[in-house]
Amino acid sequence: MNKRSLIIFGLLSAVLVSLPISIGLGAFELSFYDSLQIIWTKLTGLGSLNDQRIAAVVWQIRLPRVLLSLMVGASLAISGASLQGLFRNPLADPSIIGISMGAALAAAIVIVLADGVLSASYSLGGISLLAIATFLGALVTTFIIFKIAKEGKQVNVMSMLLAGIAINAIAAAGVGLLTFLADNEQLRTLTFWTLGSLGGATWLSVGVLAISTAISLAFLLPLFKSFNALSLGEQEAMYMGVNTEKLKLKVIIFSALSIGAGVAFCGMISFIGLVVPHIIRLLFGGDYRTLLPASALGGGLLLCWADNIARIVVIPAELPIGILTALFGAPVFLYLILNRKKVKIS
Amino acid sequence: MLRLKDINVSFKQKCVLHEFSLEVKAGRLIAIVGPNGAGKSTLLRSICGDYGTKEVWWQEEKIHDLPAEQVAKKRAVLTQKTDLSFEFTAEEVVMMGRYPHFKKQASSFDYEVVNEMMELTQTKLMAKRSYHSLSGGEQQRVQTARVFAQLKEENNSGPKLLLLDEPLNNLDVQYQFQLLEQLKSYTKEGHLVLIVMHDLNLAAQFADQIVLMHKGQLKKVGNVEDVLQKEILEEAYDIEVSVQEHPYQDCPMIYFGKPKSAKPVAIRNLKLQTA
Repeated sequence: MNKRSLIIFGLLSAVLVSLPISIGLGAFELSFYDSLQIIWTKLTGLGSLNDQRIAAVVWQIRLPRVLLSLMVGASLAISGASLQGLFRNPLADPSIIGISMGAALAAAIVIVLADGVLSASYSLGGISLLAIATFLGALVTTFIIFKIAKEGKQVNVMSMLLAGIAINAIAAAGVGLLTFLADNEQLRTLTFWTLGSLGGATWLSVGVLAISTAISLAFLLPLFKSFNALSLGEQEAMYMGVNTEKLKLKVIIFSALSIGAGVAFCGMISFIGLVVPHIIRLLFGGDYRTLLPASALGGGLLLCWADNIARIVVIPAELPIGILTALFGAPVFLYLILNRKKVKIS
Repeated sequence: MLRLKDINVSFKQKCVLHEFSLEVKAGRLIAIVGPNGAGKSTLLRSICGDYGTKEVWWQEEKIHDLPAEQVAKKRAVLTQKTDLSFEFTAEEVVMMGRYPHFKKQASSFDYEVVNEMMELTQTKLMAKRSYHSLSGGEQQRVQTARVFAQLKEENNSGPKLLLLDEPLNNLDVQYQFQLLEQLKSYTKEGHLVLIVMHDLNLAAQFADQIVLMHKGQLKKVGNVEDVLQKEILEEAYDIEVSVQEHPYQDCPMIYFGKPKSAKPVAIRNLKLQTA
């Protein structure tokens, strides 16, 4: 088994082990074996469930939540890695080009302005108005940035980055204004939304995320050669046969799709898109062939364990996930930077 | 054969290349020389199709009408300055040259080529080292290995076009000679090498033909003795030139004297800055 397969196998194993452990964690604790048994019985119909209430907790609440955390984490991390590769900028992440803030503005409009006219709890096919608006907010912002950066048939990456920063500022000002206009309850909803939560996980949200994550992975993972070549420069990548315009379009569309879907169901979750690709780079090197799948798995793992801690640290309440992703990811990141020479394997 | 026809490139109304046409046969090493701002790099980039240039034929094919991946197998380019935005090993950088040749998984032949080119450029010992930890000269050699690797094919599929923009930068004298000798032997296999360079004496020693550019136009193209003449060089470089016989090689040796016209404005500016 080569080094790359070993890394992917290791991370995949960690995800598979984390799944039943995470299901067992929370206000109501379950053993690793019990969690596995309930999932097995539900999936195969073999065996019997001793306690239907425990089975309901696992099947209706815990399992969707853990699956959602893995998929949202994977989506954010792979989008972060792709955007960093596209912009050739280690600081690029879903928030830098304004996608997250555009989504936040849409969410704030629904929470503050539409409240009373169109309640945020209204839903379309089981998906809340808030989630739909947020998703559309992410897509519309991406479209605007893309339009601004388009020069003839080409997209100027630098213009896109600068437009993203400007749109980010405008959207942040809009969110600020709506925060000012909000009443106490709206303010609380808005604040908690911006800190993110996986508490609203349902099988429907898992289904939507499964589709968006699968599409993004299917289109972004095969781009590893293009990302590697792009690290030498846009011109050099073109000389090596990369269609850079097609690449830009793919990265922006599929990043917006996965970020939009993630933010729609879980609110703003910072840091995963920025820090996970860096942790993977520092540990295993910069080759996108390993970086993309390892970031997806690492992002899922980080968000899953951040959510586990969010659930158990202040039982019976829950900490907002955004606090933990930063608290959890930043020290690991700092440790790796400080011990760069000792830790680096490649 | 490489053929360019009536190429025009301008930046913000400033004409950099004006109705530039050129024909050079494969199997040669062509040195593109000229003073700063003459349009040497612009010419190289025009051949690559960077400014929407279409009128470029390679082996009687209009090269920019072909799909990008197909072009990348026929033509490789080493730009003047290549910086890497993320951490890669030297070997991974050379492997990038093989990208046009495989879809998902590099074949054993790709690894063989990478190995061969790293040995050729004497970078094998630094294969597993981070590219960023290498010196400027070592990085230049790794990049050279990459472009050599890009053009190697399992089955000999005709002449290749190698374009190098000042590849001797950062190299010491020994590696400069080594690289030029490698390029020379590469042309013996029937490939065409176009190399932008400043050192006229190295050009005299290694080039089969010299393209002298001046103010965006072709000043003179021909074999070494035809181009490297006192009057032509003095006019192009605006400096006193003496052309002698090379003491060791069968080629001319160029000596430069004083600039022919002083540039007081630049000196005055310099004084102001230093004051």
